[in-house]
Amino acid sequence: MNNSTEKRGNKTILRVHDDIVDLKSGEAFKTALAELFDRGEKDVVLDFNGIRRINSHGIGKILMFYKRFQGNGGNLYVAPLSGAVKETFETLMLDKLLKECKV
Amino acid sequence: MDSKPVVYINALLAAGLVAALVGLTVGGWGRVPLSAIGGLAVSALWISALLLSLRRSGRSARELGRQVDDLRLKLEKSDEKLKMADREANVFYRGEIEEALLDLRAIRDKTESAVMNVVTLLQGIVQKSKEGSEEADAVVEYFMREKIGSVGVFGASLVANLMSSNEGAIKSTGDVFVQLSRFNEELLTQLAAVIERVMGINDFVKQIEKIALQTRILSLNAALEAARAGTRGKGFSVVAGEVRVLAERSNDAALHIKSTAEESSRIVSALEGKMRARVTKDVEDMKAAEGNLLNTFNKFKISLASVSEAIEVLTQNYQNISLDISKATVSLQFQDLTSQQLEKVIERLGRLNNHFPGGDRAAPDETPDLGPGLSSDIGAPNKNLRILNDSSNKRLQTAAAGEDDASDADVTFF
Repeated sequence: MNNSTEKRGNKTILRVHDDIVDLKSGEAFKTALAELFDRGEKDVVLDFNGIRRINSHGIGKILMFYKRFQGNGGNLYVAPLSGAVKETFETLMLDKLLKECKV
Repeated sequence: MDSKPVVYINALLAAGLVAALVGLTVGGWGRVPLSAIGGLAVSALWISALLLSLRRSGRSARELGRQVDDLRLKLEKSDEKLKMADREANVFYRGEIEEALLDLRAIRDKTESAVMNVVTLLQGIVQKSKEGSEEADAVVEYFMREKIGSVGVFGASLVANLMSSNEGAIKSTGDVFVQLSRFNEELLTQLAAVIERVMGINDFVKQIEKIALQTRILSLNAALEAARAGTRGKGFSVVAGEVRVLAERSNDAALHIKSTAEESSRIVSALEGKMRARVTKDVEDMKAAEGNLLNTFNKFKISLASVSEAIEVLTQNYQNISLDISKATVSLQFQDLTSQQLEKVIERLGRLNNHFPGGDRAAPDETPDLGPGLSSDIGAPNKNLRILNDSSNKRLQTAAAGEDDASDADVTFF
């Protein structure tokens, strides 16, 4: 899976480039988040502007790592959303859980 | 020479010597009896025979020596052949054992690799199980569960939030309906009252108009009678005129009232229009509320579908874990097969080792001791074969010693 990270100030941006819609892409997304967590990053911003779809394969990982980062004194944010990803977030009220952070 | 005749001759000669000695002794040394002479002659013969025998034994001994040398040469040749056979057997068995060792090492390496695979798989399974459980817990908590007694990381669950939204939407819709219903009731009541009054006014106007008409007719009649009466009718003519004015004023009032009634009617119509507009708006509000409600329920349905999908994802995770466990089981079965192969090789080595006489004989389920030379130094001579060689040498030497017995009889005497 294609993703990239960028450090800005005290936040790390994880840019996702492939849709998270199956087991493989879900596992790759999880691996990327796990690397950031293991590295000790506290605040991570998820940038989904490079993808068109995300389903439960990605949502489950977001929830799992939201708890992990919160438990570690950190937080997960999300870059401003659009399209189907935004609809999914709004339907599942994830837009109220993950605060928006401009990147 | 044949050993029995030699014994007889020796006995005869010994007897002759004894007789000679006895004769000499009995006859005394001064006189030499015939028996003594005979005895001496026999003794002389015996001594000659003895000397002859010795000479022959010497020849036999030399012959024996030559035979021993021949035997020794043969023994050395046999020894060489045995050594060669030993070396050839050594090479053959060593080759077999080397191959067996290679097989064992290959199996050992495969076994170690398979064990590492199993360990890695099992570690992966444990890791996936832990992560799967963690993800399942987070999903269930976010979508459905609320922590009792404390606020969870996610706060209220999604289902709870959606239910609250639904309840709010339903309540709002209900309020709108209630208000609308009340308004309609009030409006209808007021409209009924207005209509009733308008109807009353119309009736009143009609009466007035009737009265006005009759009054005008009456005033006209009075004016005619006053004109007929001449000057005596002037007063009556004035009254008639007043009555006519009154009639006209009544008519005007009636017209005014009619105008007012019409105005009221217009007001009622306007009110009706407003009411319709309000009702239309309320209907739109109701539709919007209904739309919100439907939207909320739709979101609820989508959320439930997402929950189902999330559970399906988690199920897939655990199915993958089951698949990994199956792979681990297959690896373990391979382990069992490898163990059986190892057993066969070990048995083979054991049988191989049993071919070597002496030394340690390995039991079928024990790994045979192939000797220190084989593992570290393949070129070392085989210990067991050397023992065989030594035993054979001894037997050959014993056999050679057994053949010497016949020749030794010539020189054996009491």
